[in-house]
Amino acid sequence: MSNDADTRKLVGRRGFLKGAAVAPAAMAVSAPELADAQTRVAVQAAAAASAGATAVPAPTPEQVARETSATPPQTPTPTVKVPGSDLMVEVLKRLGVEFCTSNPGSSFEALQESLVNYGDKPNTMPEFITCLHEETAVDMATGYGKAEGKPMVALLHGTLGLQHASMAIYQAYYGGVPMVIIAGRDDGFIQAHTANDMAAMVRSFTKWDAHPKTLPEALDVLQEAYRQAITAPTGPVVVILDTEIQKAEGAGVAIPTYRPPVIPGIDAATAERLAARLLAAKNPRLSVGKLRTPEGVKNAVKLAELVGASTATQSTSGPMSFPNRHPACGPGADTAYDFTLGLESGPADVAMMGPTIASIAALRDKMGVAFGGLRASPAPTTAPGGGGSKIGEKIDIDAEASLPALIAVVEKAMTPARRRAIADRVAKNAAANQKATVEGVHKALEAKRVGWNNSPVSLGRIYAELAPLIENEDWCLASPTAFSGSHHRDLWNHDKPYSYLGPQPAGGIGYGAGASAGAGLAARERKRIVINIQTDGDMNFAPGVLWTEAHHGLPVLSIMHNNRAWHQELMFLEFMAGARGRGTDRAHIGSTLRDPFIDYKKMAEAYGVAGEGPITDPNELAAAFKRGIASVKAGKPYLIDVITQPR
Amino acid sequence: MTLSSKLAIVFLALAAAFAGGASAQTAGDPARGKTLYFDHGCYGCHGYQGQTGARNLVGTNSPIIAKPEVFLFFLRQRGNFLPMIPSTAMPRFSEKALPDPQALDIYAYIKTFKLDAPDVASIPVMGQIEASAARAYQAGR
Repeated sequence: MSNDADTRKLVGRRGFLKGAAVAPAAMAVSAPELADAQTRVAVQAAAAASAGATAVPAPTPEQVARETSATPPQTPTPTVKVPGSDLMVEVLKRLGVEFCTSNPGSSFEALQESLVNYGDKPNTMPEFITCLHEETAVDMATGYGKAEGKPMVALLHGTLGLQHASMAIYQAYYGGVPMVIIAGRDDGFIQAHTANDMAAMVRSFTKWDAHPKTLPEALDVLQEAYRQAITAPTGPVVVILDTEIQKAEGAGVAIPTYRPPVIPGIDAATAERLAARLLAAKNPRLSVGKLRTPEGVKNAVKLAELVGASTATQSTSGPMSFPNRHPACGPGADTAYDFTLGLESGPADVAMMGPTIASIAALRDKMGVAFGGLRASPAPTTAPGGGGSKIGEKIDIDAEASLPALIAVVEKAMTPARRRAIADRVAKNAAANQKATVEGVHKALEAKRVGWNNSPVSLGRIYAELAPLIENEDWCLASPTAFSGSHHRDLWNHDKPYSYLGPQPAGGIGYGAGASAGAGLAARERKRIVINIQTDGDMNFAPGVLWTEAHHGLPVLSIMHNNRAWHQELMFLEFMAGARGRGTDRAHIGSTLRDPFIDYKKMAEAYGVAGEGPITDPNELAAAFKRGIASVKAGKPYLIDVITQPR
Repeated sequence: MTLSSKLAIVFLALAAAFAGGASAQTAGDPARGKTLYFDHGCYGCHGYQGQTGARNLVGTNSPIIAKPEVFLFFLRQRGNFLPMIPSTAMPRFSEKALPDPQALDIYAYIKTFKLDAPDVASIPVMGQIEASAARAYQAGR
């Protein structure tokens, strides 16, 4: 069977070469056939030269000889006893990589075959997830990485796949999202699909890359890639895998033992010093930013409870932060804090701040591109993205890796008297924070009732109608929400590390649909549901992701924020036209999605996703949402098209 | 005092200055105004009923739409001329781009907007949200 398959593959490739060779020749020569292979090469080269064409290189004499059977056909490589790609998959299995998103390509056919056939439970750990675009494959890895705080694999085809995926890789880099990107390389096949240094195309916006030359080296490199991806600063890494290595004999090659990375945390003296300050404080506070993994969030909660600190969180603006309705979360009973400890955040008297992608950007940016936002700047005294978040003493160390040592010292230093004082403070803070939450929710509802019955539907009503329906579900809001008003921030209970996955890391549109599907991969395995408030402009970049959701049974509820425009740009254009005194009545040109309107229910159905809409009556929302939630809980993605107010 | 506070005082003063006496400029046609409101993209920032988006038009007691004369004055004075950074702030509308009669049609349409804001207590979903916020936190829900 395998020999037959190999033979068909070789035939297919010869067919391709034949087409590539004949087409240019036919343009220049009217004679039907050229018998002599050398003549054909010469004519083709002449035709290309006369036309100034350089896009398709002429086949080499060896390729033509092989094509025309001037020399005996290449003997198919005998089936190896242990394919090298099986060992690569075994490495991924042992690392716990759950998924591999990909659009199929000839440069990794051996690895793909191993993914779907190797092992006691083939096509699991990782499972091959079929994508219709490489940008989607990487956006899905981003959504998964944000939700779980660990990498999955995106498998790309040569130079083409890397370039299709480059926008999504760029965003993952900005967001410091851990993922392992594998790009297949086949230097003996289509030359336009290969390169000497393929990773160079994305080197300036990936954390690390490698191109192993042997099978044993490839197995080591895959493990190192995983380590690099999850070590602060976390980020996307690239491994180039040649077809020869994927197909190499693996018998006798040992899989190396995986050594987890050692991520430095604070030393014992610093732990003692910080613990002493937290315990001596009458009113301590934690300022919690984005940690790396759910374990970090768990330890942040533990520390806050141990020392009775009130806590600030970023959980309503992104993943891996403190649960926003935990009794410790809020201003506390007294806002005159006498010691604030920052965990990847400020303001704080002392903050532990791990390295960010910006700290390695100059090392990776060999071409001097100098991406905005990552360019060298003076040492920051503020938290990332936090204007005015002043930090007294900044300790350049990963906060998550430091928490176990700090907690251990605090626990050791605890006395009965301290426990009593802390318990009293905890109770007072809890009461004050609960009051603040209730008041904040009421204030928010007072604002969101405006336009409650409007048609098109108000965005505030969409989030409000969803709130009680998902309250008792394990949910993940995966789509960016800035364009739809971020009404979840003050209405929903962000009690999980993955409650909200945050914005497009580099502000790029076309990300939300893919990221939601990636969050759907994590959710499917964990009986979770994904909410995707899907802007229409974003959906249309790569709508084929709907098919991936249907094909793989991803529990993603997409609710269209259908304002029939790239609305931010519409408003920018209106302002510009107004500033120039030319009026705004033509600003819709190039910034709206009308004439004709897009039917998203039909789009979903075409890809195999059940859906309904368009809904214009807000009183129909709740029933539609209930149907959608029931569908995704049954493992079937669902799309609801809602015609909305612009913002 | 913030810039917006200063501007509010200016427009309140203008509204007061234009107070008294019916103005011929109030004769806009709301039906024509509805079309113009859409064509000129006013809905983009103010919502289709003037209640959502970047700037509410109704329920704000803004002096800018208290009088047609103030509204026209506001339209003509808005915006800088060559912004380096795009803005979603209110565009300037010149007389050439939006003649007075058309602006007054839009004004007439804006004045038909009615606030739709039921009491929080009358919306069952909002009651559920408030009850949820008041419930004790359950770790590991």
